[in-house]
Amino acid sequence: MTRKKKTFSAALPKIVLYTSLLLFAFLFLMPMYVMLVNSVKPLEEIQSGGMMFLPQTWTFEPWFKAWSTAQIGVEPTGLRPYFWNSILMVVPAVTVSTLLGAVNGYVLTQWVFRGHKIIFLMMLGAVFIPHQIILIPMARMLGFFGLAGTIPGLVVVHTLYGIGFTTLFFRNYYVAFPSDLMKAAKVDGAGLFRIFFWIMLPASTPIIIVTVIWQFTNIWNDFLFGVSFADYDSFPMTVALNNLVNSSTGVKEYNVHFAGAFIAAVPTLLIYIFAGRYFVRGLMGGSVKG
Amino acid sequence: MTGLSIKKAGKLYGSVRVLQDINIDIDEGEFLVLVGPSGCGKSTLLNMIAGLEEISEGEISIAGNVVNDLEPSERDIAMVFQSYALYPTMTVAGNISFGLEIRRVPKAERDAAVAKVADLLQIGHLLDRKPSQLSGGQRQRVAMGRALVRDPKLFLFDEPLSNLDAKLRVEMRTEIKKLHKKTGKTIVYVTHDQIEAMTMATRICVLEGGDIQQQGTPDEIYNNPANAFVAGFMGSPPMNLMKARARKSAEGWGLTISHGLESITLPYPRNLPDSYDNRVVTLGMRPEQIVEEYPRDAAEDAYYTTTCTLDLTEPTGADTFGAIDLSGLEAICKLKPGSRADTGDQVELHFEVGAACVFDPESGARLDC
Ligand SMILES: Nc1ncnc2c1ncn2[C@@H]1O[C@H](COP(=O)(O)OP(=O)(O)OP(=O)(O)O)[C@@H](O)[C@H]1O
Ligand SMILES: [Mg+2]
Repeated sequence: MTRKKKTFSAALPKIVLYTSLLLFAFLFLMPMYVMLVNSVKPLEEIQSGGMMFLPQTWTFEPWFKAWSTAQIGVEPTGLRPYFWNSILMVVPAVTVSTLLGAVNGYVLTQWVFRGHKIIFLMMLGAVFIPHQIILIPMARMLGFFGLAGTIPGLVVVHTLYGIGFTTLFFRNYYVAFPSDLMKAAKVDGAGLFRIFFWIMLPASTPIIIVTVIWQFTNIWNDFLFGVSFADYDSFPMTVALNNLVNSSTGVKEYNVHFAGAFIAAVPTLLIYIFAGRYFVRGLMGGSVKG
Repeated sequence: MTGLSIKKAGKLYGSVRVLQDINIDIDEGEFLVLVGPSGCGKSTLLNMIAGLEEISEGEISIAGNVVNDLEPSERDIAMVFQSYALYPTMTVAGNISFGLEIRRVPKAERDAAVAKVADLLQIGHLLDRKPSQLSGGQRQRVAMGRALVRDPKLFLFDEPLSNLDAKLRVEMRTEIKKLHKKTGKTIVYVTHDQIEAMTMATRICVLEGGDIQQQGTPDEIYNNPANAFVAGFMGSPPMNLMKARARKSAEGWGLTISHGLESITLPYPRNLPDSYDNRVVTLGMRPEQIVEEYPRDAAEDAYYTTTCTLDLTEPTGADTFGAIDLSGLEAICKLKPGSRADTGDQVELHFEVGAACVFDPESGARLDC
């Protein structure tokens, strides 16, 4: 008897742990479940109050509608063009900001110059600037360069805003980079860029993945910059989704809204599924090594 | 001379001085070991030779050319680091040929050079592996291969063996020595291990506190230390440094040391400055200069014999060492091989007084001449 008691008290922490983990998983997955089941239901089923149940008739019509025919603003284009807007915005912005962050982090740790600490502190400051503060100056600047209301304009904004973060990530990773490696490369005759592209970057996979995930999700999910600096033909996905949901004409097509929201979330979901474990590993790696 | 010449070199980090007045001159093909305790500036000096640290003062020339303003890659040197510093994402072959690639050596030539070095170091079967798939000893070899393949004028080693276990260290030590014999290249080798210094060097330079304490062949450094620091640093077990009172009489100098409650007066055959009469000096004697067994071929009066009490015996296999209380310190002496003497025993010990060194007790400067 006493033995049984012992095993129970030994297992207790585990039981508590798993119960609370399951509870949280349930809390987080609940909205996703609601979105999914309702995006494959006819509208009448939702209106008749069956929000929580599985569909009686399955239909993928809401998905097609959200993607290609739903009314967004004035045009019945669906989310498709805006999805591509987002892709055209995210890919260059993530690539350029990640690369610049890597170069910054590399120079700030391995080729230090007078005043490198001040420069780094200033870049770090960028991380703490709230989005709202830069709206008006940024709008003026984009206007000045003729980029207002365009996708390249959004790319510039997101790249500039992201450099602070990416520099911080890469600096913290590279600061633990063994200095003997740099010395060996210099003795071998490698210069600043040769060392960067041949030695540092290939050894940076974890932090590149962390930075790409971070930048991708932030830029993809951004609403404020999109709605402030883009125009009808350059709105990103998030703004289009908002317009879809808030279009005041006719009945509220909840099933289409759910499908649209899901389509908007698919890229970030995919990134997390395929690279998520590197995200955790990369964050840990940087901190343990330092 | 043509190997390496350093004139009045110094190093300052801001206002902190870590090296001063370094003068070294070695021939081509010499094996110079920089040895000294941690933080004495060995790596700094090596990095200055390599061009990885700026030379604050003085001049360094390699093979007759002043290199002060040259980049590391222009100095015709190769370097092996304590951490090996292998490029983690490249294969062994890639690591070895990286420097050649940068120098635009054609592929066929590169491959031939890598193959030759791999053969020399017996790492041919590892060429396609990544550094993370190698053992410590194998990494060490690859690091050496990377240095050897370039065929430079000067090799620089910064404690290349200190990350290896004791057995491998001894093995690699002989191997590096052999390589030196085979290639005849000039080598500067940093270590804080005085055994490595003694066994490998053709010339030793003892550093301490940013100063050169002494330079010379291993023999000179060991038998004729310039000061108490060198005497105490080189040798294992180290030289016994004892407080003694010097007295001059008609028969010559005598050095009195306490042994427990008694005292021993060693007649000292060499000369000391008169000003040290009746003053305390530091007497330095190596363990093999205080022996239980009278050396067979030694002269009748080379040793002074007296009886001492053993505090401790320490058999180390080949030799047995004993500890005796001299001037309040545990002085190490050498007993007969397989000696049965035990703690508390009285043994007759022979002091090789003619070989003893005498130092100033404060400055540590050598006094006898
Ligand atoms: N960047 C620096 N700024 C200030 N002082 C430094 C700097 N780098 C090294 N030093 C100092 O210079 C001295 C010599 O350092 P060095 O690395 O040459 O020692 P070392 O003899 O190689 O020691 P070890 O055997 O531990 O490797 C040390 O006291 C160290 O604190
Ligand atoms: Mg060092």
